[in-house]
Amino acid sequence: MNKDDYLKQLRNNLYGLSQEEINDIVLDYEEHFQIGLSKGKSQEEISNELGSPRDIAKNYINQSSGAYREEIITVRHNDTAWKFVLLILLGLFNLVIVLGPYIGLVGILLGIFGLGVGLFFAGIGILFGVPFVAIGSIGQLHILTAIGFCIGFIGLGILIVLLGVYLAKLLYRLTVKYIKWNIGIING
Amino acid sequence: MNIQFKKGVLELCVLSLLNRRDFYGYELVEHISKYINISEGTIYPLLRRFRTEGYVTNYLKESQEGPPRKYYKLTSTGEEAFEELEIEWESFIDGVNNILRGELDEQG
Repeated sequence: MNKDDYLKQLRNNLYGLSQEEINDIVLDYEEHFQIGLSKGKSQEEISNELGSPRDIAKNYINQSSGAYREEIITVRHNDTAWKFVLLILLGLFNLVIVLGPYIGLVGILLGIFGLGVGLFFAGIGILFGVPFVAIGSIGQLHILTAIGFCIGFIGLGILIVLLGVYLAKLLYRLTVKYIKWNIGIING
Repeated sequence: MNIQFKKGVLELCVLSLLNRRDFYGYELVEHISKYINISEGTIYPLLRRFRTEGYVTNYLKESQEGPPRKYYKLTSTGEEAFEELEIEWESFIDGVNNILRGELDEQG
C-alpha cells in the first residue's frame, strides 16, 4: 500500500472520532512516513511495518470510547442530589403502584401451591377411606372409584404444584429484573 | 504471542526509553522494533493514550532534514507509572523463571 492509500484508510477507519482528533492522529503517521522515506525506505515497506490501518484505527477507537465511558460514569456519580430525588420518586412509585399487585401475585401463587398440596393429600386421604366430604351423601365409595379419585387427585395435585413452581420461578425472575431496572435508573 | 501481554510489554518498553531521554515517535518505533517484533503502528496509539493519562507531554523540535518533529517527554506521573510497571515486570519475570528453571517439590 502506498502512503496516500494508507493514510486514507486510516482516516476512514477512524470514523466516529472528532475531526480534530483524526487530523492529529493522521499527522503522526504522516511524520512517520516522511522520516522513513528520508531514511531510504519505500512507502510499501513503511506501511507493511506499521501494520493494518484498520487494526491501528481500532486501537484509537477502543481507547477513546473507554475514556468516554469513564467520563460519563464520573459525571453521574457526582450527581448525588438528582440520585436522591430519583430514589424517593422510585420508592413512592413502588409503594403505591407496584407493591399492591405484587402482594396479590404472591397471594395467588401461595393459593396455587395450597390447592396443589391440598389435592395431593385429598388423593391420599381417599385411598385410606376417609369420608369424602363433598360427595358425602353417596356414602362409602367403591374401592376402584376411590383408587381412581386417589390417582386423579394426586396427579392433579402434582401438576398444580409443578405449575406453581414454574410460576414462582417466573415471578422470581421478573422480580430480579425489576430490581435491576430500578438500580439501573438510580445509577443512570 | 498474546496481544494483551505484548501491549503491556510495549508500554513498559516505551516508558523505559522515555525515562532516559526524550524521543520522537519514529525513533521509539525504530529502537523497539530492533529488539522486538511488533506492528510498528501500535506505538502511536499507545503514545496518545499516555498523553491523555498525563504520562507524557509533547513538544515540537526542528530537525536538520525536513519539518519539525513531535517529541515525547515523560512527566513525573509517567515516571511513577514506569517505576511501578518495572517492579511488576521484575517480579513477574522472577516468578516465570522460577517455574521454568526451578526444581519441583517431590511429594509423596
